[in-house]
Amino acid sequence: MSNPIIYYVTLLAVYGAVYAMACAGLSLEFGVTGVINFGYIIFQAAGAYTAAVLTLGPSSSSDFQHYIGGARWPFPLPLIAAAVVGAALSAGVAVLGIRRLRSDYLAIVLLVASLIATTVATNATRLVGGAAGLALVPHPLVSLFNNNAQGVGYNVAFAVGAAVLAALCLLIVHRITESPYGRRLRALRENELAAEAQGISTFRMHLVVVMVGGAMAGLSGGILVQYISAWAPSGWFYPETFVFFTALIVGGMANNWGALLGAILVPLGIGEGVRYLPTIGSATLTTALQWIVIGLLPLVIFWFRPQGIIPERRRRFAGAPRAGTPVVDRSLVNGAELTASSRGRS
Amino acid sequence: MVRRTSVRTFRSALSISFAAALLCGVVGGVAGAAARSSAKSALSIASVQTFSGATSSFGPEQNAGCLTAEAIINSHGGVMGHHMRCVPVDTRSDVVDSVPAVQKVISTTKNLVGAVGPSSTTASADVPLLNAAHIPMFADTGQTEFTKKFFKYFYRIIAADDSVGLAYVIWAKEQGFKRIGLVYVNNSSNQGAVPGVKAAAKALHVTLAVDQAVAPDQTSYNSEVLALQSSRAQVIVGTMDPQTAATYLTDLKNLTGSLLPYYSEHSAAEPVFKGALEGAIGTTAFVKYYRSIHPASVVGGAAFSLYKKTVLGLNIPDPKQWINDPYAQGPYDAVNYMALAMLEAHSITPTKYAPFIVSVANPGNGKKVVHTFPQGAAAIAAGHKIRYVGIYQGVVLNRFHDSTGGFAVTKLAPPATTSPIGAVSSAKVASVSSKH
Amino acid sequence: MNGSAIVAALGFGIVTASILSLGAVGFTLQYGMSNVFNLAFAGVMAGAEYVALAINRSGVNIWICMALAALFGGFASLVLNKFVYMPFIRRGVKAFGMVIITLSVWTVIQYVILAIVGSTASSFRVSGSHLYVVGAIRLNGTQLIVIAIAVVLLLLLEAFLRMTLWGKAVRGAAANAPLARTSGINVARVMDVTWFISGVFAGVAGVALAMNVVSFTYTTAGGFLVVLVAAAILGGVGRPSGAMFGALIVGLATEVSAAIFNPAYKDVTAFVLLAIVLVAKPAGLFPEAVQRKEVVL
Repeated sequence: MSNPIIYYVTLLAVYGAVYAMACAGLSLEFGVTGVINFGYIIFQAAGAYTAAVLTLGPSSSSDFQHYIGGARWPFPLPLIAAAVVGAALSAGVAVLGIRRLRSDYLAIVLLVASLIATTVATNATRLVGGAAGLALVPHPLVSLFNNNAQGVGYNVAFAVGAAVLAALCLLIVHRITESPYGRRLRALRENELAAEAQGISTFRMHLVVVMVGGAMAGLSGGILVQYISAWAPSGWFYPETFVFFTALIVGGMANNWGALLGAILVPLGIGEGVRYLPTIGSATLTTALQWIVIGLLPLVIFWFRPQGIIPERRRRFAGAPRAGTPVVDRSLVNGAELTASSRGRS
Repeated sequence: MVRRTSVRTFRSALSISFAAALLCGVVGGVAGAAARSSAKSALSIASVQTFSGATSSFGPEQNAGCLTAEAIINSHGGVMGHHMRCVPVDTRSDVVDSVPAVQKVISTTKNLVGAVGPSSTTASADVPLLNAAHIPMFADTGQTEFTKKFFKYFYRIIAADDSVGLAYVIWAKEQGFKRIGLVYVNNSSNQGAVPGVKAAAKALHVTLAVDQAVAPDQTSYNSEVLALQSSRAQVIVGTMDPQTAATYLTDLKNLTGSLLPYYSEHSAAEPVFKGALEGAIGTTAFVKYYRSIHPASVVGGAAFSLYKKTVLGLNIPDPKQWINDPYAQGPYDAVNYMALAMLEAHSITPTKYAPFIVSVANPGNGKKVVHTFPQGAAAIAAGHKIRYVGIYQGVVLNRFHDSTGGFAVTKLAPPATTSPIGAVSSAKVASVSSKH
Repeated sequence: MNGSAIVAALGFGIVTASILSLGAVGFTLQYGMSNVFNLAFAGVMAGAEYVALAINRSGVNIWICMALAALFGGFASLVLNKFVYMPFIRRGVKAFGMVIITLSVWTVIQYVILAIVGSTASSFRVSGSHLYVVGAIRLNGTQLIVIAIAVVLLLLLEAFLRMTLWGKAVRGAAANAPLARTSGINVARVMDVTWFISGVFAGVAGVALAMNVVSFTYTTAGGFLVVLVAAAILGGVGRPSGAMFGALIVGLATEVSAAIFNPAYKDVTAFVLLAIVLVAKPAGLFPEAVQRKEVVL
């Protein structure tokens, strides 16, 4: 393979790893626990911003870009900070929102929070660089590779590093899901009131889950920004959150293989795959057709696999009655319904 | 029950194989592109632009210019026997999506020899990528980042954002306006000129009556318009996306009973912008009030007449809309610069021909001035050194490969072309620029 | 900032609120009934805009075009539910999965429109209208008609829901579908009626929006969706009158904030308001009429 091909393959690998990390976190929040976090992309953006400014160095007034909190921290501190910021922001959201709001209203509040964040980031040019964002973010550890960020060695190493971190995130989610703690989380998802009645502290569990999920989002953002070396509010606009949800639902909820498959299939496979469609008519028409395919493919997959390609493993105690037919199977996405729950009481 | 299971197994097999096929398509496409041979094959120019998303109108505009140059070069035998080919690359208006798209075109396009674009929304991520791959690009961004940071393969013949802001205010002052209303949409395509406007207002002692960043896509801008009116601004400057500008100016007209002169970078003939504003305030008012301040380009002579003739012959929707469009003309010139540099370098290899771009663009002793690709090709064949002076006027690339040419002020000449009103010379811009 | 600017902003806010309320009411009526969080609502709005445009281009008066677009919206919405959403629900897709389905459908509709009409902006042919000035409030004839249409349609809907047997059936089915079914209500038919009404409101809102922004593209309706949903949620899901009230608050807040603060933060004001209200009153301004968990089959 020629060098450009290797870059491209490693680029797809890095993107795949970043998406897998984000999907792992979201799978824990939404798939396992049933928190509908429509503002998930904020935490990735915040992590990305953190990692960017902590490697860019202090902002100088003569520079073309302006931002706050600039520093030049060595690897891996910026990435750790990205995860910490993601977790801390999520904790703030949990404290403000989760305890009080029913799940669909929380979803809407997080969605508008995402829009507010984008608007503020775009307008407050001195805060995070405005619409143009940040550019020329240094690549981590590139000095070990003769400062050649485009070299084959560096790109392969970056992709392997990202993949290892993604695997780690998936492993963490797996361990949580399979532990007794995971059983309590699923109980929470299925019926919060009943879980509470069993003595499960719903708030503390939600808090832990969104912090872990937020940390994974932040970390994924940090890795992405250090790879593409640029950050702009438009790159993390609210529709991106729905891309991750689509990935989870298409791949299959509440299991690692589903999250991984969804991450590879939806943003990467469909989003980038359509660029291989032949050019038809004008450039605008070709673009429109690509987007039509992006819209249609999840519908097609959904039609054949309403529970996702890899459905959640059905857990039964020995001797328990078999679950019903798939059509009325309530164990799958049921806990993530949009309305109702016990939180609505004011 | 058994039957049901088998159906489900079949379906899961189907969908997984479907997924696998999709992935194979991706990988196969990569491998296939790499495997193809490269004997006298076509040379590709990536047209990196937003074809979808917030600034989707930029895509067809840039592509039209690229296709025009492609048609002329190919009908004159190509570049050393190679044909040219423009490859549209959709950045989807965001950095996260544009990086894989640009890397894909770099990796899977054989004989990728140059690029036009990218624009402001994605330049900070895409320019380093193209630069590292040694692909010369003529960027469509005014970001000041690139006047401070040197990229070897970066070239820019459109004006930097700060000088655009200066040009607005210089022209407004020359028209006798003393109070300027700065109104712009808060995104990366439109925010850039703001510091220039503020600096020029201070340097030229013009009052900045109001400084309004407006949110795009609102149902109305009535409250904003009232604030503009009460500030007693005499002219509106600043870039808005077509829909926002249309809604804003209509609200202005409805509420105050009259319009104000409006200056922005959009070409007066650019179809999306023109369509939106003509539909909103009417053609007569659009001609009367709207002034496009854009990189100066010629409207006659050999360069223009060949461009015009070729554009009109293109097989694209409504080609005449691009005749006077400076953002279609710029990419046209860009492709010519690259093609002529290849001829002068006797090489299609980007690392070999790139140093010749500056030589082809800048004046020099004993250079033969040419205005079109065929003229240039003939002159080079006759053993001359050349300087290409295309549709853009006053292009001189500095050490950042950046050119601050003069600005032209134009208005719409209905139905679909523009007519010149005046000019803001590069000397004037430079003198105001030095005051702050 | 002087007082008259704020009074004027209140006038503009009512125009925005009228358009917003048409959309929010249509959205919430259907969501309260079926529990399908129909993001393709914006697709129906956009479709109706271009149907109205096609008819308007042939010289038909814009208000007649709006009525025809409303009918189109109604049938499009009905067809969408019967032939796209219901088959998925029958296959076992749950409420959350339906969000992704509606999102995908919206994406397809939006880009089909792009493929047909291109990215060029379009405008309706509207006869010039007079500017009416009352004190600091300044509104033109078109805006006044839009306000009137919103008021009339919302009153008609309230009357339908409260005074007719069909309206009672709609409210009954929305509150408890299984119970309604056992009481002899044809829930499927009632669902059709609800989707149709929702589509009519989407159509009117789409055309009114397109008239108000003057020049519109395939993305105009989509850009409006989040504000519309915010207004619906603010009033408490499933309550048309609540959605109306939510729209009024959002409309007034955006315009007044644009007059007082930085207009770039117009939407942000509405969203911050929504977040504050929801955190303070977690069930929305009006506690909801319906309590149910899943999509209705």
